[in-house]
Amino acid sequence: MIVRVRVPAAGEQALPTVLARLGDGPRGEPFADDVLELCNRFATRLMSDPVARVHPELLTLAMLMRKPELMRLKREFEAGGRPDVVRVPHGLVFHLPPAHVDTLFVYSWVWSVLAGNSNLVRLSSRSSPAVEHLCELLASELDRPDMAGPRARLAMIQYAHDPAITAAISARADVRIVWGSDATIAAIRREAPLPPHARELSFSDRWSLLALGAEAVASLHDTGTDQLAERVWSDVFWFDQLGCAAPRLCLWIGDRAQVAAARARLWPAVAAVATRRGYRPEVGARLGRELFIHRAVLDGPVIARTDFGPSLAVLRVDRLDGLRRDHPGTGLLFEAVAPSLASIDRWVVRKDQTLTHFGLSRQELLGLAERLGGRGIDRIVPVGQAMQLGRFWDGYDLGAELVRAVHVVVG
Amino acid sequence: MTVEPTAGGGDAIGSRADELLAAPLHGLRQEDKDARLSEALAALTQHHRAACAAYRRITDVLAGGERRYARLAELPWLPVGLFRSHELRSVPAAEVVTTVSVVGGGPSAGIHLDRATAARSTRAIERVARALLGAAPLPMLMIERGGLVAGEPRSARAGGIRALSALASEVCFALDAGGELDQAAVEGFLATHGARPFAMVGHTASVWEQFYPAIASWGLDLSHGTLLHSGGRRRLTVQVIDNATLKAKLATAAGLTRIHNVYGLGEQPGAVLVEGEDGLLYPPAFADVVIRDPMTFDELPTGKAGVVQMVSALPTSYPGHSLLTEDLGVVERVDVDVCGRLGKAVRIIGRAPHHRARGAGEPFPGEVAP
Repeated sequence: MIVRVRVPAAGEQALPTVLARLGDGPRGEPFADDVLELCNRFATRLMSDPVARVHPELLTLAMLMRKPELMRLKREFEAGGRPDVVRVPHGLVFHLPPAHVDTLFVYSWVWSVLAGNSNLVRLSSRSSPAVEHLCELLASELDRPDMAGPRARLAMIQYAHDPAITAAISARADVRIVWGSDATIAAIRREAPLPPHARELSFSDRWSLLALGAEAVASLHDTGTDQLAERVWSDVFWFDQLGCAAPRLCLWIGDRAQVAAARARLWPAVAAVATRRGYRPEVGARLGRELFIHRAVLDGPVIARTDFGPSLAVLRVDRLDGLRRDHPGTGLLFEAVAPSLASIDRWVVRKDQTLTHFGLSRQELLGLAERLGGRGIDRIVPVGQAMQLGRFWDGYDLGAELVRAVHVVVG
Repeated sequence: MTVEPTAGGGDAIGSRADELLAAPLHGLRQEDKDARLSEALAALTQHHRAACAAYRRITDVLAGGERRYARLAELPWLPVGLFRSHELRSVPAAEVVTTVSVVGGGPSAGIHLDRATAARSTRAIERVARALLGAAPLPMLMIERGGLVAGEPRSARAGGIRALSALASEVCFALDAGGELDQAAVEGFLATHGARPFAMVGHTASVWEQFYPAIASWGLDLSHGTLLHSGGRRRLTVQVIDNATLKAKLATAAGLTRIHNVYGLGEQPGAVLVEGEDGLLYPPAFADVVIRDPMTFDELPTGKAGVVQMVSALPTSYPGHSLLTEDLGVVERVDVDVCGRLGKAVRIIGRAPHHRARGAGEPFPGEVAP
């Protein structure tokens, strides 16, 4: 079984060799100095990189990996400790990031390496320019002489679809992290069993929405509208709306008059952001969206369709019942109006992940979370933060999941 | 949909279709064709809105409902993929005589033809084939498996084979049950018929991947043959073979010079574009091509590449008269009579590329290049 090792840049190697290297050598520890230094150097280079200017999501990644943020996470980690618990890494973590969210593989690795784990990350064979670039950057930082430790505990590899390889790696893993899809998760569980002691963090297909207080949006001045539009744009359009946290439904809270005023200002502003940033969907994706729209009209409660330039299509629905959670990505938003958030109490399901909000009160948001009681929705965050992969994701506390808690009682 | 469409009522649109079927195949000036087709298609749009509840719902929500259409380009279109997922029918189920299955469609997906539509599709194929092959029935070498018609009787491919077989004096299948070229069959056919005019028909991919390598190595003489090849476009975007190269290689290898590429949708049987001597594709009198900007879906002028929309006056039993394909193309010129054909002269570029999306702001690889 041969794999291509991209980070460190080692070319084709036999899998047993890669696994042996990761298994040998001293174990890491949470928030080790050399790991923090590596992340900081990587982030610093990324922030001054011209490529990052074109890809705002790379800048967000860099912000997570800079020293100040890492030290904050370290303090948070230490504050969450107990004198009778020693937190240690699991060992080898096997990451299977999705192909369609380019930067996710770095996030996945960062959370795990901060916990002190060794990591094997499988990269998609269909690599994008952004992924290539990140790999080159990371490999060059790992090449430096004072990074021998972190270098020994990382392999980012590629291999063409081969269940045998996935199974061989899984058999040696202490933790496996699978970032969707539902079909991939099911296949991997079938084809690549984990050892009995190992745990799996699985991030299945999710659905997300946006809730806007109509009155608040309608009463924004132009600057405020533009700022809100920028944030909505980054939530919706990064990764072509294919990320699970990207909103696909906009729920306006307010009466019809307020909503009419608000939407007339917001959607054109969002389209203007897309134009300013030169965003255009691919032809094939555009046609796919058009086909989806026609199917949605036949299958669901769609009553109207408005396009705001080529980037954004909004489908109005007159009720949420019968609205399927299918979605093509590529700048499509369902739109509904409700008098309050209570309207979605019964509609939310486990698949619903992120609700981004603007113009709604603390009581309304906390009230929703309480009334839902775990039906669904794992994150309620302000507009603009949908795609920020944080410590709490899909109901997991990544900071806690990636370490083991050793309980020590003396006498 | 649960509402059953009403029977009959298609006489006026049927006779418009018949008139266009009887018109000179490539003899209408574009202006004249635009006028006649837009009238026929506007009537078809109204007909399908009245007869097919799903079509009425789509056109109500997405195309402004009941309205007048002054020009062909104003007519609504359906994405061709809709027939893979939904049943769209404008006649009662009892009047359907054939359902042509669509590639990638589920078990109930398909094109529902009533007697009249099926007859017109067959007539259309006949007209196109005779224009290329001549009036007299010819011996025909099908670059297909003989078992295909029995094995997938509902496929568009089988339908095409049946229609063409009816025009042939005799038919020989060049591929064996395993899909490999049957050397004995081919050489036998040529030994009997190769010295006089004969026809060959097949998918472009089969011609290039199987037929060409074989004839090149067997040293066959195909100089009396006429080849019609079509489809297989999905595979061909992966291959590196353009039409001009294919023609040159066939001419060199086997003396085959009468070669016509044919383009059409399985969802619009009979509405096929044929390759002229200038290498461009010509729509028949009863069908046409509109090129649309992929971002705005506005009609694009001659010379600008975009997404191909196909219109056909033939579909009366299902709302397939105006379909947006997944192909890119360009109208190179109009009414320039280089090979006895008027109307639009089209080049089909290939499938619209569809990669998994990248991050926002990245130049997208699907840029349409003429």
